[in-house]
Amino acid sequence: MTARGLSGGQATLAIARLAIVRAVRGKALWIAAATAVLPLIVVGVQASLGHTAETMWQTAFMLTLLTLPIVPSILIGPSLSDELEDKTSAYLWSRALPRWTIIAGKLAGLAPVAAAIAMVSLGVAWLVMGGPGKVPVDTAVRGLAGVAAPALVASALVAALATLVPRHAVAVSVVYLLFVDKVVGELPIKLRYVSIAFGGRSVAGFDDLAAAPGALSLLVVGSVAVAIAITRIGRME
Amino acid sequence: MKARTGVIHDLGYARYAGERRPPETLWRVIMRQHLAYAWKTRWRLKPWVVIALAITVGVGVVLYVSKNSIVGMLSREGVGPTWLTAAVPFAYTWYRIPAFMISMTIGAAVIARDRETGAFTFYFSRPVRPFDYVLGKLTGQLALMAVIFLAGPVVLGLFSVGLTETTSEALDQLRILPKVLAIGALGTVAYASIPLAFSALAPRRTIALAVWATYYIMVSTIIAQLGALLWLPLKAFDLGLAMESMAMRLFDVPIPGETLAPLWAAIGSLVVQSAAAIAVVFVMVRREAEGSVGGSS
Amino acid sequence: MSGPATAIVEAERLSKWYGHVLGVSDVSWTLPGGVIGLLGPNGAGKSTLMKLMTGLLRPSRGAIRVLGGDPFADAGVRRRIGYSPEHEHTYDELTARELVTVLAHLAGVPRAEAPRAAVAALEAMGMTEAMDRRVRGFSKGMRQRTKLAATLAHDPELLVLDEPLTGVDPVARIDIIERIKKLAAERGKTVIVSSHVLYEIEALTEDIVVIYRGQVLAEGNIYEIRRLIDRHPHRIRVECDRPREVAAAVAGAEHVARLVMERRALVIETRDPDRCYDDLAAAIVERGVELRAMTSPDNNLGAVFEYLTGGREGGEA
Repeated sequence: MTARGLSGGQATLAIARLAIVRAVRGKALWIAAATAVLPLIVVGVQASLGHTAETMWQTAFMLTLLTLPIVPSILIGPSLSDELEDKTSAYLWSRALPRWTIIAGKLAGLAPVAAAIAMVSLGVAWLVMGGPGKVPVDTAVRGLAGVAAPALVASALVAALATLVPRHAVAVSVVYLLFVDKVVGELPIKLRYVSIAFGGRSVAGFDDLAAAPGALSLLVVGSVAVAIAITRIGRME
Repeated sequence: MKARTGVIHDLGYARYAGERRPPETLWRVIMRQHLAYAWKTRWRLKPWVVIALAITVGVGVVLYVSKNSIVGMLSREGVGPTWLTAAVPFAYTWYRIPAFMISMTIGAAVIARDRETGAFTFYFSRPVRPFDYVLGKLTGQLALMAVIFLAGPVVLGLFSVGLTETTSEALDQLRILPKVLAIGALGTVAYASIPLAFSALAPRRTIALAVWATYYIMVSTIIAQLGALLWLPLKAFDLGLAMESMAMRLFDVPIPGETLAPLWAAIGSLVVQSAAAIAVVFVMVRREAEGSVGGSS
Repeated sequence: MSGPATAIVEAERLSKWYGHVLGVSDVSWTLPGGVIGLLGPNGAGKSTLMKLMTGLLRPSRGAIRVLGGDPFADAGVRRRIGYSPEHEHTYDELTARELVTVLAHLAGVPRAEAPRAAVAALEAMGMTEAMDRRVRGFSKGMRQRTKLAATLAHDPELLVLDEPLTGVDPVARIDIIERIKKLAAERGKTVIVSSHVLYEIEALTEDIVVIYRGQVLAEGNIYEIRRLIDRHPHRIRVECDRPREVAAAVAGAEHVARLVMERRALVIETRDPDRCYDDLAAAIVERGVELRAMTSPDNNLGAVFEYLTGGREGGEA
């Protein structure tokens, strides 16, 4: 039996599967999933107090967006930083696969999980507040896109930070997304388009923002982050 | 039957016969080691202290400029906000950022890291008691947080006293110092002890960080939101909001609406959470010392 | 060194530094094949050299070619290498079977064949019963066996094993050493094993490379290297009933540097061990001396290592 070598796609899929198995058997995924439940508590109380649909929808969206600093950071951050710190990267780097597949594989496996957690959180909140009767389906769909897209981009950003600061990947990612990104997103100047949180609000249609510029800015930020991560891991020793 | 024989080998080693450190001072060794650990590397402590310094300088500039501006004049006439007193409590909103960073890079990681690497074996195979370990780590972390929550605000407080023009004004302004010390002390204890508790509970460093971040960001926010809906004092559960409430209330800064928690709730929340955290740290470390001494096989 | 004529590893003026710390310094070295022991104290540069061979590090200067290619840049080269790192961290959440399967697949074994290859490798390493347990609960020896299984599951031509016996109990150590020797002898693999424990290397091979402070100090057969260390005369210990007579017989020979009398033995320090053995045999037979034992206390790796590094500052065996 001779090893024939893997294509980039095959290697990416293999690493994605490995990342998911490790996440499921580790504790980080369950902590991340638990955060999805928390916004529902507030929405449930608001619903019982008779708050308007608009208020509940805004609260649910903002609280779901608040999980951005946590969920991607604790899913993707340790997946990469522990690999680099514990030197289990030696197993991957000594294999016949291009290094970019390590980033691609981990993101392919875990970024959709981060997005799914955010979508489930907002989706269930939408049902708790009354579903289509209270918040129209198209608004809900935009909202789901408005939490999923930032979750994917935040995952890419965390991957980039993990290759830049492996020892403190989780800490730096949380602080960047919680403080820097959020503050930049509130600024009344064009710079806010760099913010992932702002991009999410645009896609979701809050503050009368158009979806397209927000989506484009998220795409650019995500692409830059992935490029940084791939470049860094290609040079790491 | 073989005759019994014995031999003494001179290994050139002489047992230490000098003075030994009293056991009750071992915690100081651990504290110093904690501070040395914090100072190492680029990202653990230094950048966040620089940020705290920048905040102090920034707020100091605001104090100075507003003192001489029209706003300062108006405040002296009793019109508009009193900047000399308002700027200092507002600064705590910013000091929380480097404090949270230090809690992520050091506070929430340190005990979990010791457990993960098997360092407990080294500590507790020596005459180090769980109490010494906890006291050492706690005082070390308190020292780091004090740099953020006490040093900067006290400097600002003294600076604001220095900006006064008359002796009576200065004496009046001196009243802010006990307030600054009280807020800083409670903030120091809370931000030092609560991350340590999560660190003591978690099996791994990354889990500790994850849980602490979730608690600080999500759980606190959710409970604060529930507080806004159901019962205002609940807002004080959010550490940041508790500090902010305490600062604004003590400095009598007029904040509209029900943004803040009551003063008693803010102080109570910080005290209760800190006390619970310290208890958790002690219980978990003692369990570790008396059971398995941690570490991987 | 014996083995195929084509070089497996060729290093040309290879250097690697980490900031100001020199890992490997100006190494020019060719490895034809077989089982090679990479020997050196802690911090000598063994792991650095192995990482350069397996594509984990890039040379700071010079070049290294493994199996005819650049291991860092060429994935095809890495497909033919199996590397077992020094540290014991692995994916602890997986079972041994899962771990070796995924690593085999990532090494290029097709997904459908990877489980079979993994099982075969684990069985070859004596992990048949434990392969469905999670690595987290393994002892050090079991972890090492699992790591070795992961190293050979994809049937590489070159095995690079960094301290494979660290922390392993004596029984497991013997077993693993035998398995490694079998891999080279029966399956024709080239194996490079590093260690700072001399008797482990002695048990594995006679062909060594001695690394010290980032440089190759010596390479080749242990005994040949020993023979070349002529500033340290060879010691031969003769146990017999009349050692003084034997001493008198050889004392006048040119090659004898020193004679040391013991109670029922004689230790000869000689610059030419072959001639000395001939002279001793003649003396013993002529005089009818009752010979009990004849040994060479320093014709071993420990002495070779000590003689090579002991004269240098900070050398350790």
